Amino acid sequence: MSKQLHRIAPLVLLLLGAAALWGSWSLGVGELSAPGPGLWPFIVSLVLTATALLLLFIDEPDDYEAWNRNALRIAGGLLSLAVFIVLFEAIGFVIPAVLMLLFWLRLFAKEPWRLAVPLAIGGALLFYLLFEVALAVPFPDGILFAGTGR
Amino acid sequence: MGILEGIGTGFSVALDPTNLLYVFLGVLIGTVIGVLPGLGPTATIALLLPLTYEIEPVTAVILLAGIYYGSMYGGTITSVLLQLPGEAASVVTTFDGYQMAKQGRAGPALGIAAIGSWIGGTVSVIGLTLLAPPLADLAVEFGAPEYVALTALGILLVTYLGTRHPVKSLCMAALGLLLATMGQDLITGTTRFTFGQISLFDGLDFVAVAMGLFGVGEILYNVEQTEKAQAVKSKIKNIWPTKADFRASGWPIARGSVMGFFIGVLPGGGGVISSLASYATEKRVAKDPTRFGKGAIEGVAGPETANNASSTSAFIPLLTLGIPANVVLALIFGALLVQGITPGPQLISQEPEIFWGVIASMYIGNLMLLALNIPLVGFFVQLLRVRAGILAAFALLVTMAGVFSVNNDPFDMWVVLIFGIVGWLMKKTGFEPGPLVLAFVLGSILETNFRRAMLTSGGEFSIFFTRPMSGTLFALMALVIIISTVAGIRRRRQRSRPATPGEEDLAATGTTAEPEGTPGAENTDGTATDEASAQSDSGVGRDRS
Amino acid sequence: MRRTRSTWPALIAASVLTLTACGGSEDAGTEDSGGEAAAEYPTETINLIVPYAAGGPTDLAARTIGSCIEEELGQTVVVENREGASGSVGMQAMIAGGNDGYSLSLIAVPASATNPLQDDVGYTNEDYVPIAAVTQIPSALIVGADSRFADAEAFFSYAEENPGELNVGVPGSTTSQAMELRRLAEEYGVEVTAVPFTGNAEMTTAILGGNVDAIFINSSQDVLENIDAGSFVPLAVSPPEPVDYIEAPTLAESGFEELTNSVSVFGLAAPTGVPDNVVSTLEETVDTCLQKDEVREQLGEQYVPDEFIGSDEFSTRIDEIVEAYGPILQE
Repeated sequence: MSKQLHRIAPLVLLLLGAAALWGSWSLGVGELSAPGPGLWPFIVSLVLTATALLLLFIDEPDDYEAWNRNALRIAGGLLSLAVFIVLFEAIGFVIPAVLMLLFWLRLFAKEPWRLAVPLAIGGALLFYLLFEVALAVPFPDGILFAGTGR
Repeated sequence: MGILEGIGTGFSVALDPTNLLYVFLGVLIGTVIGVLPGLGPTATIALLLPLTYEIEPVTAVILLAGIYYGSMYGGTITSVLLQLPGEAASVVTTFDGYQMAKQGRAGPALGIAAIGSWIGGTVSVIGLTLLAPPLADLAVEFGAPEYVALTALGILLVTYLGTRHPVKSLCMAALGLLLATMGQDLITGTTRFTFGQISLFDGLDFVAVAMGLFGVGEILYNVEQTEKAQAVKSKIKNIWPTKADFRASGWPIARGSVMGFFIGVLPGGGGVISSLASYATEKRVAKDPTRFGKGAIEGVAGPETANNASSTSAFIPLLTLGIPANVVLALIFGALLVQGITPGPQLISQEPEIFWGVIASMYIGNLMLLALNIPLVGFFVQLLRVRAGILAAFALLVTMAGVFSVNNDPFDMWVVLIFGIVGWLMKKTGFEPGPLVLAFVLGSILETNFRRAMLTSGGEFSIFFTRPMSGTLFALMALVIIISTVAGIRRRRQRSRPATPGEEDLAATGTTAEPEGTPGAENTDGTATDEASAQSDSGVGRDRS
Repeated sequence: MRRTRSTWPALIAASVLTLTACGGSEDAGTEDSGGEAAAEYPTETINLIVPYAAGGPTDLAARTIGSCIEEELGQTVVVENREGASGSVGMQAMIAGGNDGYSLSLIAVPASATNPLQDDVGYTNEDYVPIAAVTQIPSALIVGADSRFADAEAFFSYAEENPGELNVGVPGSTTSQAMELRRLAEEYGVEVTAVPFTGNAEMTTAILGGNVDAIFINSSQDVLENIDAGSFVPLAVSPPEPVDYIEAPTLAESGFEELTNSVSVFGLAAPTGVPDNVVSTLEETVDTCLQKDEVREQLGEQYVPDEFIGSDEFSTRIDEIVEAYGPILQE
């Protein structure tokens, strides 16, 4: 891979800083005696942009870790979390929780099925009882257990 | 109310059976999560936050404070036995504590750490008792410029002290300040950077950001590194240190208490910096500095005392000024706000039960920890048998459910996920989440006070320098910047020379100044690029040539 | 990113209620479905949403009146805090809860009425109807005990001669207090610098520490205590008529006839389209409640309106506020 790859992070920050500069300027910076809503964000974005620009040149490649197959697994794990949130909003807590636990226990902890399945179901039910019943957190209504909320 | 009378009130609150139970729960939970790598006090307190809405405010703070200083004890255990700091402030303990364990002296190492922590904690509570009331009186006089100076100092300290790369940290601090501006502007009421989302009206939820960066980010990173914690084989015996141990540790504990107390008071100071400072001092004053890193008991006693002392004194700026000195205290700040209590100079006079009750509970909690730790070390060690993968799966689920329960809003779950990704990427690219989160926490205090100062002074910057208090603080900051810039440039020139553990310059230890409450296990990984060295690197004395 | 704030429970609850009310209609919408159906009210649990955090003054008002309504009407009242976006989140939740009379909210005027004027907050002032005021809290202009201004006259004449020099703390930039100070400058030429704070605690500290010259503040319990203790000196109060528990002239008496709107009113509201009999039942119940000693005591005797403010009068108040502050906010 290219030796310049590590410059992506400062570059992203630089772009972010530039966007924030523009954004805060358009909010209106006002004057020092009567600061507008954009003044402070503008100052802060200046710092962000300046440091990112500096990093673009002085940052050391050593600080950056290599990307490998593990990183790919993490991406999979992240996707599972996103799926969890979507399902959670649609069908409540219990089923998505079982699925997510199962996924993580199998993929990352590499537990055998005979351990993963009871752990996932038990864990999901335990947290359901803890949050929904004991703490009265109004989870979205589930198709398996109705929410006690509204 | 005088101090004696206050303490009386405090103990009558803290000795209430419910509160006693919560102190105990707090320190127990704190110890357990301190032991478990990958689950720090930040994530735990964030998780338990919604729970505390149901209980009395004073009880809530007693519980959360107990978790915080309890985790300082717990973190020691894994540092000594496994060379894995259970939370960030115990990193230093791995230097000598683990060496002691290898020499079969794990018992005394843990023993002296517990005793030192108890002394440090107690000294610090006494300091808190005596200093907080007069400080609060003084703090009433503080205006916007002083608040600007104090918060800026906090961000600066986290950025410059103990981080490997101040420019990167400053960049992250700026990002944190920028993120803090999202939502409705407190001064003009304009909405900023909300992209038309009602959910962003109040800005990003701090709990969600902290849990994403520290909770999910750490979990992901640890999982990627694949678990390395193995169950401990060695038996721990003779916890109680010998007379010689006590003699060697006496002064380090005394110095650690004082140093920890004062560093903890600084916004942005806290456990990590105080334990590093204590280690560096002990090494410097030692007759034979070469013993350090090879199992010197002073290297355990001093830092462990200091980190516990600082975790107690960190309550001073919160309870007297309303400034959270670090991320954990920001969460406790949030817990109080939800209960309708604004910490600040008025707290002592308006809510004496809370102020004194929390202080009194700390005396009790530290005693409980001493009692818990000496006999129960063996039990806590067993916790390490829980496999990291299982822990990660459950921690993630609790994080998601917990963050939902803060506002009952699925939006916050997405915030956690996004900041989890950001946190993981930051780990991989050598950016530190600590300055970002602290800047995020202090951002709105800094901004509103900056603008108030501008409003009241009619736009004159001189207001920051002409008032004695803020003038002094700004001079101090200039000094920090100059010194660390010079040191940084010098270090860059000598980069090829490998650093040794506890190098007199804090920044050179290669230890990152995570904010309080970071689960510390990842600190044992190098940032080296190849997998093999990442597994073996102890996080100290890293040669980055 | 989704912007729904867990509307699922509310939607489902609404549709369940609608189904019961309309006798099996498939329509799960929340518009115009309550209408004529509720001959008997209440027959279900009433949801009372507080758009602000637990523990605050609005929360206190809601819980006190909620438990009294529960007692009077024999149906459970569930008080729920849905804070966020200066109260807009709670208002949205109340409106989404359906207009059958089982989804109510505590509104805090002027904020509830001025928020939609300033931004798109997901509701407008047409989306809810006020039912009854529970408490009203006037604002007071206060200086510290060692202030150089002995009375309102000294304060305002100094301000007039030295435009912008006096710093006055206000609880936020879009609060009635801040707005009144702007009108003071625009309509009467008396210019002070409004310094926004968040909440009474911060303002109290600021005036005690001498970091502002005065504060214009909601005279809630803590402020009254400070006045009694002598650390606060009230210069003027905001309502049209003097209040008997603060010894100070009104702003109107001090020469600013128009400045009478800075009074916080906490009251009940329901989504627009709520059946008339529900409104009248709740009006009567609140009226009864406000005459009970224990309710008055809990709310703070002095804050309960001397004369009951029902739906019509409450609406008129809101219209006045919209008229007075609308132009300033929409600038």
